[in-house]
Order: sequence, then C-alpha cells, then structure tokens
Amino acid sequence: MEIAFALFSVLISQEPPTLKGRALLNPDISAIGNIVNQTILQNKIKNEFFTKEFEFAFQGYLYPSIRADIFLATHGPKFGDVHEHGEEETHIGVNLEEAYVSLLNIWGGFSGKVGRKFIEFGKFNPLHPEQWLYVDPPKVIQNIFGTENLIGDGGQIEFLLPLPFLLKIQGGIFRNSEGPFQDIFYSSRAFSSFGISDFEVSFGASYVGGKTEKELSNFIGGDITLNYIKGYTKLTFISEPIFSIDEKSKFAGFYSSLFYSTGRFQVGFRIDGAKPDEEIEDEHTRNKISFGISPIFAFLLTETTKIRFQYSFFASDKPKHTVFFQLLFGLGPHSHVLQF
Amino acid sequence: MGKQKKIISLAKIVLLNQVLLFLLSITEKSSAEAKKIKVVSPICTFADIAKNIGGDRVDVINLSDGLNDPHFVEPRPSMIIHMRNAEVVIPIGLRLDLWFFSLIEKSANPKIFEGSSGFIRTYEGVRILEVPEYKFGQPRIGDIHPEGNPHYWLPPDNAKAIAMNIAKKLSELYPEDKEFFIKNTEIFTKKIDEAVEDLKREFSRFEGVKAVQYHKTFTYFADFFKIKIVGEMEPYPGIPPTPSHISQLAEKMKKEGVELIIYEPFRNKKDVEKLSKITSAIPTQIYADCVPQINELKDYISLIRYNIRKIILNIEERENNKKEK
Repeated sequence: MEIAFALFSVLISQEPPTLKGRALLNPDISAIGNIVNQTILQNKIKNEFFTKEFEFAFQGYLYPSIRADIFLATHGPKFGDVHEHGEEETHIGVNLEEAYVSLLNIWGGFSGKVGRKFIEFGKFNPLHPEQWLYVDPPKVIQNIFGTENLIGDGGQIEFLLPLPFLLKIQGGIFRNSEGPFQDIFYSSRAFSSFGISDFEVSFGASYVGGKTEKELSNFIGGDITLNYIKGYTKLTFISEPIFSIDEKSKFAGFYSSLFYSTGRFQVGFRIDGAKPDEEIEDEHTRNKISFGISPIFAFLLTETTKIRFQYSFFASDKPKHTVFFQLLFGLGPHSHVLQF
Repeated sequence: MGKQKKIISLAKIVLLNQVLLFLLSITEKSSAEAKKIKVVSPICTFADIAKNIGGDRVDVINLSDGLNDPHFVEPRPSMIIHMRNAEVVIPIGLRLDLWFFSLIEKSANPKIFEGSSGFIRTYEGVRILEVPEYKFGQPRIGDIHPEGNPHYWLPPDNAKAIAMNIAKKLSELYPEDKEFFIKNTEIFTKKIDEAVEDLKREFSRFEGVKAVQYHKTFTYFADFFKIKIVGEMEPYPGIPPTPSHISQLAEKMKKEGVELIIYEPFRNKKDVEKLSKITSAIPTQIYADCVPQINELKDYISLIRYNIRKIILNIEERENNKKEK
C-alpha cells in the first residue's frame, strides 16, 4: 500500500499544472443585466422602461490570502424618476461601483478591505442590486443615503472574535464617493449569527457618521435576519430600523420583509416606514413616518435568469402606487448570486 | 425556618456541584476534541471518506448532503465558525461549490485558503470528463464549468483517488500519524473493492442499459458501471427542460430504446414523470451524495450500493411488467 501511495503521490505531482479550457491568467469575468419597467400612479400615470444597471465584475486572487474584486456598472435613472415627453434622457455612464482588495487574513483573526466599496452598514447597503430581494431599495435607505447605496473610498478592518459562536466586529474610515457625507466618514459594525437546526438567526448593529452639508450626522442601525432553510424551501425575515443622531436622536425609518422561496419561485412582501418624498413646510408633518407595502413575486427562468414583479404602495399626503417589472440575467461565475 | 434554610443551602451545593461537573465534562470533551484534526467538507461523501482515512484522529464537519443540490447550498453565517477552526478543508472545486469557497474566504483562517497547507486539491489524479473545448462559432450556453464536469466523486476509482489525496494531505500535515492514515486508506480501498465486486456481479446482466439523466450528475457513475447515457433532460447544464428539447429527447429515447430516467431527489419530479409517460422509460430517483440521516444512504459505500440496486430493481420491475402484459 505504501508503494501505491508513493506512486500516487508521484502521479499527481506530475499532473499538468493547468487544465484544458481554463485561462489561468484571466480573472473571473461576469456580467449582470438589470432591466426594469416602472409604472407610477400618483395623480397621473407615468411609465418608464430603462436599463437600471449593467454590472461587469472582474474577480480573482492576487495571493492565496489576498483577492481583488472590481465592479464596473452602467447606471440608469434613479427609482421614482420618470422622464416627461421631450425631457432630456438621463445619461447612462460607466461608474466604478466597487474596486477593492481583500486581505483575508492580516493576523490572528483580523482581516481587512481597502479601496472603493459599498459601506457595510446594515443588511441592505452592502448588497449589489442583483442581490436585492426587491426591485427598488427600501424607502428609508433612499431617504438617508440619497443614492441607492452608500459608497466610499477607504478601508476597513474586521475581527472575528475567538468565541464558540460567530461574532465579527469591524470599523472603517472612508472618503465620500456618493451619498450624504461631504468628506471623511466613519463606519463600524458588529454582527453575530447562530444556527439552530434548520434555523439561522443573525443580529447586527451598524454605525456610520461624518460631516454632511449642514452638520455632523450619525446614523445607527440594527438588523435582524431569521432564516429557515429546509432543502429547497426557504423562509427569510429581515428587519432593519435606522436612527439618525445629530442634535437629538430621531427615528429615521425601517423596513421589514418576509419571503418564502421554493425551487424556482419566490413570494413575499416588504413593509416600509419612512418619511415621504413631498416637500412639507410644517416640521411635525415633515418628520412623520409614513408606511408602505410592496408584495413581490419572482421566478427563476434559468439558473441565472430571473423575472420579478413588485407592486408598491406608499401612503402619504399624495399616496403613490408603483408597479415594477424586472428582468435580471447573468453570465459568468458572479451570476450565481441570482439564485434564491 | 432554620430547616428550610438548611434545605435551600443543600440544594444550592448540589446545584453548584452539578454545574461544576457539567463544566468539567465540557472542558474534558473540548480538550479531547481539540486534539483532533478539524476537517470541513462541503458534501457527505467527502466527509465519509475523510472519517474513514482519519479515523479517531479527525473531527469531520459536513455542511450538506444528498438531499440538496451541492451547487446551491445556502452558506449560513454560523458555518464561518467551522471554517475558522478548520485545519483541513476538502472542497469539490471545478466551480461547483462556490458557496464553500465564500465561507473559506470569510474565515480569516490562513491554513485553509486555496493553495495553503490545509486546502486539499480533491480531484488531483481524477480523470476529469467533459472538459469543454470551444470551436469558433460554437454556441456557449448554460452553466458550463470551464474545467470540466465537477460531479466526479461517485465512481469508486475516483473515490479511491480522493481518499489518497486526503491521506496524502493528512500525512504531510501530521507525519507522526502517516502509517495510521495509510493503513486506513488500505482498509477503505479494500472495502470499496469488495463492495464494487459484488455490485459489478449483480449489475453485469444490465451493463449497457441506456439511460437519460436530468443534469450531468451521473456521467462519471454511468461511465464506471457501463450505463449508456443517451442525453440530459436539461437542454444545457443548468437550463431547465424546455418543451421543444423534451420532445426531441423523447424521440431520441424511443429510437434508442432508453429504459431509465435517472434524477436526484431535488429535481422537478413532474418533468421526469411527463417524459416517462411519453417514452415509458422508468423514473429512477437515485442520489449523488450520501445522506447521514437515511440508514441505507448513510455513507459512500451505502450510496453506490443503493444507486445500483435501485437501478436493478427498477429494470427488473419493468421486465416483470412486460412479461405480465
């Protein structure tokens, strides 16, 4: 047996270092398309069909413990914007959405990321649009971050605590790329998760703060995720309340969603609680939280092609009804994120 | 009143004693477990092979089983802890278990990163089938794995190669136990050979039987046991069956006399039954990975035994039905 073992060792050491069909020098290249039709009913009906985003991902290892991820994206108009007839079309340009290097292990459980990236605030902000459970971002996120994700140039350090359960803490310093902050801002997050049988319950607390146009602004968010996974059946509950803290602490809003997915179908709803869009002079009314509900249905056409329907109702002085239809498709290894 | 106080004090002492004993048992258990080599596997088959090779020297954690599609296991955050504590990981590779690699990346454990000492290149020495070679003008559709078909672990020859790879890695990392790992590899290989001898004998009458599979999961398995795969229900890997493809496939199946449709438990059974109705081929649900909670599928050898016997049973049933008619 020892001879066989030695022979096998020699045999596998003589295996060619490359396999046919793989271009080893190339990073993993992927492209994801996100096409949306939105119909808004608020006083009158407006419809817009647009390419929300085309994302190109280049991902690979620089070293066994260092990897690089680059995401270039073309962005369409913001959700809720509809062009009147004859109005100039929104320019669709290519943006550097994320480009960062991950140091997977710096020392003793510390890891870090450097570059441009989506800030790890809460459950929603770090996700790319193709990973969202919804067509549009929750209203509270749109209200706070102005764009659909808070992005920054900088770095963060993460630490996985040596405990028998998962507890990760992280802190970062970033310079504004897009969003509410004028220059430097800071972020931190603590995250824990427990798996009990078919259930997984995760908790997170996040902070982001820096100088905005008016003053220093700080946001604190909490998040809870409950997953039940049994084979192909999955039940996911997410809730994320956010508080704004400047002179005094204010409840900025929240979103909660519940989804059931099995095989190729996913059905669920999101509840939004946030300030409405309208410009209101009275401070009390302006700061009042309004509520919205969005039933959502998604279907996987193939493993990397998905369609989604969403109806959103947001109650305010001017109630808004929106119907979305979305087509998402992906090519390449990153497109696996399109799975339920 | 004084008696009551005494009883309460006694109860407190007993409770404290029990808590101390419990903590002591946990500490003893954890120190015994701490000495073991922590191995994490994405599928039950690799976990079983690792247990056979590592014996009581390893503590193997398995993250999925044959009831789920290994392509799409949900990587739960709590699994990161297993990765952080792991000394050895046994990935499938060939871009099948991307979820397992994402857990490795999040572990901050340099021992198990790709190319590091605790990372096993599980398919080394395995002949990879269906490596795509693209020609100019040829369509490239579906979830094609550029390095070849990644469902390589089912045939016994490949299971033996995987066992060798695990033994080699464990011997490199823990040379003091090399003899133990080699001996266990020898025992495991012998067990496989004995099981295969029986199965080949039982199956010899059915060699050459024609089958259609749902996904390209059983290509290696069929190649080993001489089952002729005529086609797949998926028009391209990862693309669900379309009516036009099923109609073409049904024609081909009738022409070639296909007897079986083999599929895993997580595939769409209705699609299989529809095709079976058109072609009268027998729907045969077999497994691509062992399932620890099902006794007849609890380990790798049980798995291949179950698959072959299920195929034999279904063909025999079909033959009996034909005779009765």
